[in-house]
Amino acid sequence: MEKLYQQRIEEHRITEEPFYITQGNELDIALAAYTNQLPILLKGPTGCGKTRFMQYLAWKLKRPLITVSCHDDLSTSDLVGRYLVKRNEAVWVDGPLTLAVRHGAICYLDEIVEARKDTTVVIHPLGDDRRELPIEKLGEILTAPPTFMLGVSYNPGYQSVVKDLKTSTRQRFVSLAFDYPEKELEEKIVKKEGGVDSGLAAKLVKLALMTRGLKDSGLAEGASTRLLIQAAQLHNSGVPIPEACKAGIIESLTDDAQLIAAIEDMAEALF
Amino acid sequence: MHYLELKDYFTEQVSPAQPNEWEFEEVLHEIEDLAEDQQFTVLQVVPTVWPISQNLCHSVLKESVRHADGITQQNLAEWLRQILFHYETGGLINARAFMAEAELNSVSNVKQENSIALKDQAARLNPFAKGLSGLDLTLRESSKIYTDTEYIYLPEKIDISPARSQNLLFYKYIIALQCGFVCLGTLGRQLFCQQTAPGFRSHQKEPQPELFLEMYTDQALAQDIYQLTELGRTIDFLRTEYPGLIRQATPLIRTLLNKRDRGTTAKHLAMEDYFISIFSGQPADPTSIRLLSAAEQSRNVVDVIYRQIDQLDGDSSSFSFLPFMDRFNLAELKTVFDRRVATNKKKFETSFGDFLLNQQDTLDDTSNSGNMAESASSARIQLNDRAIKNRKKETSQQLIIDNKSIELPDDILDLVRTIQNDLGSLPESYVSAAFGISGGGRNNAKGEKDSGCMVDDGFLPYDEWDYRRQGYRKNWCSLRERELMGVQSDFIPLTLQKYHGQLKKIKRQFELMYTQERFARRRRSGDDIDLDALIDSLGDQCAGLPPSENVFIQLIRDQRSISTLFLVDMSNSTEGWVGQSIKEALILLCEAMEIVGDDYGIYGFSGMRRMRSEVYKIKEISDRYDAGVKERLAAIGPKEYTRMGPPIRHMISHFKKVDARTRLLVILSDGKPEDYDDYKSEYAIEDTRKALAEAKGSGIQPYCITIDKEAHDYLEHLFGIGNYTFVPNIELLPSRLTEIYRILTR
Repeated sequence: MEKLYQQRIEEHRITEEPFYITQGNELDIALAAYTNQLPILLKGPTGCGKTRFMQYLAWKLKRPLITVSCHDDLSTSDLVGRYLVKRNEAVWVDGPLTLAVRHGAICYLDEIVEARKDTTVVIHPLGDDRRELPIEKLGEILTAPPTFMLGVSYNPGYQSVVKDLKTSTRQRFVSLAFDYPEKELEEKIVKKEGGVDSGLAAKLVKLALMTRGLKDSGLAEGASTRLLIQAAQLHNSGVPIPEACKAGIIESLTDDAQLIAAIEDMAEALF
Repeated sequence: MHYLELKDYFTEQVSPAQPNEWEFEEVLHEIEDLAEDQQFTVLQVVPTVWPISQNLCHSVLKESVRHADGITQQNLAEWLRQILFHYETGGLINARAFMAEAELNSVSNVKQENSIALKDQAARLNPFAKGLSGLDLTLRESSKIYTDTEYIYLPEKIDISPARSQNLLFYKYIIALQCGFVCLGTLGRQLFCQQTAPGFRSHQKEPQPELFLEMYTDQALAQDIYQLTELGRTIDFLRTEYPGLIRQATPLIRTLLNKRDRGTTAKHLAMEDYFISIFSGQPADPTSIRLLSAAEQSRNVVDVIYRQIDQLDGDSSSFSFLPFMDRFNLAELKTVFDRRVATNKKKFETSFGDFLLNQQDTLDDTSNSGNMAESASSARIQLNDRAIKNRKKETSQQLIIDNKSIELPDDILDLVRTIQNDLGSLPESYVSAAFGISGGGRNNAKGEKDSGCMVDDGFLPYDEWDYRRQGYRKNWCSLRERELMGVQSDFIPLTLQKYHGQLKKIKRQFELMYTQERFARRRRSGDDIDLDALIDSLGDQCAGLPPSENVFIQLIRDQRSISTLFLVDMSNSTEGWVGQSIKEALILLCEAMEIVGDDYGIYGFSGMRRMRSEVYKIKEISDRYDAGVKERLAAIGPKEYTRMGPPIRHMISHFKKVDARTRLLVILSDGKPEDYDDYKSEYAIEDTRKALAEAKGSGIQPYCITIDKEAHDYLEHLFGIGNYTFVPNIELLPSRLTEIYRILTR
């Protein structure tokens, strides 16, 4: 069983350095939080680098990273673990949270506001100075080793009054606010990840900047860095840039016909 | 119909208003002379125009009689739309002038196949303009093409080409040119700051805004040359930044250039040569436009070219920039510039004064004199480059008093940068005035004695927050809730008809919200077995633990527990189109809310002075959306002022009776909180902010939807980031309101 667990945990180890350029002092703060055994909360718009940052942090700390994409149906058992019946025997299987605590890994709950609040409270004892995970079905309280870290993320621009993080949850974390990188940095990222030249990367970033000012025109969020990278990758594979922008960026942003036309006009003006 | 029948019909249409018979007697007699079908057509004007303005309705009826032979169902709506547009933009006089000039058949809505109308493309071109400029520039129809740096004025329609796509392209091109002028600073400080010679830098502490063009004998020529030079700089900028647009537009532009009148005088020919060279990218003069990097240098080029052209024969008054643009409207630019300078001066003095007040302890320790007024004389704001890790540099501005520095907050920094951009530097008098305000505010904070208020019957007392003393003025305001008298009119059916298509889409979206089904897992009973829960249960049982009984899935439909109160600004600034759009938006919202089933109430607010704040009940949460509510919606109209604090506190008391998991207060406003008395500026904003904080403390989530262009200056401070939406175009409000509500409560 121990071998099985070890095998599972090694799958989550990041061996190659992920491409990440720091925007400010987020890495220093995260490392300081780790040293002090504090959990971190990453908030920022979609596709701005939160998950990539966690991957980089895990690589830097040489710890495995276990990511859980939160959703409405996520239950406590999904996080902590459950008994499964194997050959007429009940076998306990650790959930991702328990796995991370046992092995001193980093557990990253992505889009935590999507999960129900009665599920997310399970992280409370891990998020404060107790650093414990009670597993009721095993009658066990796991104490997290110093190498364990809890990270969560969400997008505050979601703007729904129904989906929000409880105060008792959010006040357990060191919070890092992410945003889209500065123009020059974003161009570097798009160039490297998208495999395109500087000129094209610059124009894609410019298109993104143009869309990010359209909140008052009904666009909930402008183009993320991720969308720019995927448009660049499409173009790198031979798709003409107008079509790459349309499929990779514009149609992913909105379904409003007039806004689509407006952003297409912007793209046509640039390229 | 005879006169008496017409009178009865008219009275019914305008009920419950009771106009004097003599006011409309003459026009009703004129209508009596028309054929019956013409009478009905003309009378359709009343339900549309009467709710907006009675005087306008009278004028339109008279004009309708004059054009009775030409009025059809097809052109009436378009004609009324244009009249109301002129009324909204220029008042009754403007609307009457339009009616006097326009022939009915000229506003026929039989559109040419190839023309593009701005209003049809506004939803596409407005975001395009914003994206290109990165600024809040909104498009407006006008007979001239120009910008005043707040709006871009464009022709109502473009039909320069037989192809619609080319006409649309031309709209985008001229929008890009105007955006370029704004972004490159063409229309800013360099036009309005004092100059005695080209390249002069004002050494005065406060440059007096004067047109630098007034240095020239032929100012019109100088302005044209300046505009041409800036056009060159702008086109160069567009070529670099938006090569796709330039590439697409080049064939069309060439065609238009070929059609230009070259002129007959030497001056006109020279101007024409310069103009064409700008578009062709071939500089006509050794002073290459491409070397220009700032408008300052444009002024030097203006001087050089002016001297060359001025000595030629003839005049250049026949030279024109059309069809690309009209001449810069210096008068409007100056008005906007002056207004912005004055507003920013006031804002800076107030907000910097408040900042100084809050820094009192720091400044007392810092200042050798210990005296605010004396500190003012030694204070200065200076730029420092702060090196941050990762080799990033950040420019900050700091307040330095007696060599000790205090860092300025971001909002004041932004303001300083805007002022520096407009005036070249931050005037020292602004800083002194702010010190003066902070010194006075300190004294005021000791507090005036509250006189309290005598509360009349039916009036409720409410406290008001005084930020200067950081305390409440007890029972300072009195508010009463009144019932709004309903109006019977065709407003509701006309609105539903107008938004028929959109309403279908909105209803469908709201239906999805209502019927959004969710499988609740791990239930004690339900419609089906939850396999995951069952497996967990079996596993637990096998392990010797008691199995869970919660192994069912239940389909849940109604999980929304949301109550919303909409608080609508009914101040006098909402007259005209603004009020019209707000009412239309509320009607669409009510139709949508009936689908989704959330509890909601609608109240209007206005009033005058602290003793008479008024809240108008339009729909209580418990009311059904019936004929009475619809009549009250139709009756919403402009009242007086916008004292926001008391109505917000009144809504908090309403919410105490509401038992919902989510309680939302949505405020629809067209401007800042302000009342007739001293409820203005910082005082009004801080009291409103306090009231909103009280709401949040009571578990109510406030949200604001505004059309105020200056919203970003104060709404973030009032409501917090992400808790307000600015709708740039009032006509978009009806569709945006339902969309915003849907996103907020999903």
